[in-house]
Amino acid sequence: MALDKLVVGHSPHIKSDESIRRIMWTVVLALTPAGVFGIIIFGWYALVMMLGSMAVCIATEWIILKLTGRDAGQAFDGSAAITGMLFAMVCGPLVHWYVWVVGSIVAIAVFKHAFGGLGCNIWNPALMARAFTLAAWGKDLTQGFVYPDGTAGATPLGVVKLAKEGVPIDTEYLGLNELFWGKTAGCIGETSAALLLLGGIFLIVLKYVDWRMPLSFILTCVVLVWILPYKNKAAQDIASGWVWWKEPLFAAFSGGLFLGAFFMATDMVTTPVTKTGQVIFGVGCGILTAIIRLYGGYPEGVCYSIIIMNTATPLIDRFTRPRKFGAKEYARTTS
Amino acid sequence: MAGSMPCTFPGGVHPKDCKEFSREFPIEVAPAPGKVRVPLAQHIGAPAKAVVAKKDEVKKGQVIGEPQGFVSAAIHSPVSGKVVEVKEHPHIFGRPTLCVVIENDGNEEWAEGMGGDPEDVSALEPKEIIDRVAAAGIVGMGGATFPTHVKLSSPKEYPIEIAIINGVECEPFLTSDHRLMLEEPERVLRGAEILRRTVNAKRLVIGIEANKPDAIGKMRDTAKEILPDAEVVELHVKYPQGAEKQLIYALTGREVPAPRAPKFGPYFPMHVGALVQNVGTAAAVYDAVTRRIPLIERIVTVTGTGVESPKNFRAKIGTPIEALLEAAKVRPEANKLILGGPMMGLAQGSPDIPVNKGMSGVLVLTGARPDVSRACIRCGKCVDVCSQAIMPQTLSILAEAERFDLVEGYDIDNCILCGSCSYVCPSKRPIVHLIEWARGALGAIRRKKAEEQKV
Ligand code: SF4
Ligand code: SF4
Repeated sequence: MALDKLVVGHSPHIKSDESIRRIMWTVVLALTPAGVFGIIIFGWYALVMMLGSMAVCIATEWIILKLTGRDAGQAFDGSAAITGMLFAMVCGPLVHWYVWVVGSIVAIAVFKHAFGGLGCNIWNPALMARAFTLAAWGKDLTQGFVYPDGTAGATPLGVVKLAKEGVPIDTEYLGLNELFWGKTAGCIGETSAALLLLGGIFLIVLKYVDWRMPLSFILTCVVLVWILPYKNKAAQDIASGWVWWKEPLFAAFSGGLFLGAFFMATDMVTTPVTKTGQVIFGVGCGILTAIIRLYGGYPEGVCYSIIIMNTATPLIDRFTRPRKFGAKEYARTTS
Repeated sequence: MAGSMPCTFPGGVHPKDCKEFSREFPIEVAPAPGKVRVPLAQHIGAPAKAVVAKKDEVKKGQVIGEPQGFVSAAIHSPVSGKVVEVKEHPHIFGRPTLCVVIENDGNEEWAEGMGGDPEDVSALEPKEIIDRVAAAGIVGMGGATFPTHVKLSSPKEYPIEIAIINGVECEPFLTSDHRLMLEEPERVLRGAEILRRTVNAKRLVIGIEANKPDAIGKMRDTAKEILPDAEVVELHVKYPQGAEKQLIYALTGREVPAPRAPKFGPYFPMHVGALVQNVGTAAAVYDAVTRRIPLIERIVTVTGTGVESPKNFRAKIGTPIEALLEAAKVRPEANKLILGGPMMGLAQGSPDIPVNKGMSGVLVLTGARPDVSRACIRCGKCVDVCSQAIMPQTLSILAEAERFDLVEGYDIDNCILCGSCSYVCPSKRPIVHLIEWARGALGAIRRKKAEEQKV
């Protein structure tokens, strides 16, 4: 009889066809519409940046895996590609080439592999790379914005910040329509709320993202921006055209909130594993984002708020364990 | 009314059920083995002690192993013939086990008082029924192999309100319970009624997954005729619906309490007023009580991508599975052999194993590869699907880090080893394996502590 070379192993002996590779490349696919839109409005350099960052990230990972004697093929599992793509998408369209090259290397080498590689990093590597480049080449990242017509401009939230400081502003690219569809200044991948929403819904439908997370993030942030008082309310009002109901929408569509909520706060590795934990994470991000936007030194706060909440992830996981089956006391009804 | 009936449970997974391989094939009697090899440990609890020796003549149904203590089960000869040896042989768990090997003389000669026409047992005392069940060596035939007479003897302070007959068969591929319900619904139902009466339960419920509509129909029709009180309930298709705790929840909304501090002792269905028995067990109970037939044969599905003609066999305990595999025609490229279902069964390194009381299936697969697992990406899928609502992700990581001091606090005792977590894991992490291993280590730590306290 056959059966002389049997494979043994622990149960279960069948596995779902889910894999890291499939999850990660699907996320890249979901990011693509917003990325392509970035190329359309900001030009070919955006494409160079996105593909370049992905390539640098994958190469960095490949080299590190090789050097540490691990399976270098894992560099192509898509997780490095996501990091590269996301990092490029949160850079302005005019940053110098060395900024994104060094940023990509740092993202993978320092913020991923120094912690032990896939699954072990505490913070989202793309966001940490952004924070790092912001510290190193601040001007490149905060001022290098253009409007789709090519003139130098500021991001919608940047405009608001300027208005707070009394600088006269031009509201041509600040209408809700422009913001929703993405015809405004901003980082390569953050401008089009519509396409990010599309990608996000795609991931939610495929169950790679739980809807609770982006929803709690966006809602919390929007509501807080709406109701919290702050010094120069007029600035925000200018930007939103003085109409009360436009203000929350303005807050939602600007400053990369959708990119952060759908693609970064949902990064599996750096966010809680429990459903309740994910909601807490989202609410926490929302609160921090709103506070940074309203009272902080930077115009937008998505990046830092996610990084801060990443830090709290183990703690959140610890206190949001599901109610175990059998915890319910059964009251015996003896007849 | 004893609570609501959700007909399903929280969590769980949806593997392809793959029942189509074998479900159309009627039960056929397995070729009579020339020799049977009957292990003395086929149940949870103490192994039986051999009471026959080499060269003894035995009859079919004769006791060859006596139970040791209350939680143990008698072992009987499945054939008439001569004892060849009493010796250690390989067994499903990998460790050699003492087995009685009997040469079959082919006469099928029953031991005295067995195998007659069914007698009317409606006046029998529960005590007498339990004795007959114990004498027949019946154990849970769904795979758990817990001695049935123990389950039936629940203490007074835990009255049983609902007797549940488990016809769920949620493991993919397996169809032995399915065929049994289709072909012998009367035996199952009469056995079920005996069980209900023994524990004096008000309700008798038979739970069957919705992917077996023909079995549901057959059981309903038969119940209408002979047992109008019995409720046949259709349950949602989801793994592990057939797990005891999940089945009780689906039918009553009650949760068997989780093991909890400080004792971490197990809780049983009786703690929520339920008795759960598999359909095969019910049928065996019927034979044991009405005809004094001990548990010497069972239905075994031989199936999988690795066999050419899948079958449902009625096989004697102790039949070498090689004989069953031969009859089902193993494909040359088959490279995995599993006893039980694909989710919880045990992979074997060799087909040199006899059929035992808990073996519902022999699964042969092709194209199996050793798993390559990667780091946890914290996707949370395992947490979502765990029907015991614990944190498989955390447990697996604690196990890897050998933090056995922490696993208790993460409810490792609550795990039912169903495998849903490993099934969904995109990193293919051996979560169940890690949990079982950590449990073993925790057990050792607990025993050591208990000893220290004694001193
Ligand atoms: S942790 Fe245990 S109970 Fe939960 S899914 Fe995994 S094996 Fe099943
Ligand atoms: S399913 Fe696997 S990868 Fe996902 S959290 Fe659980 S152990 Fe980690």
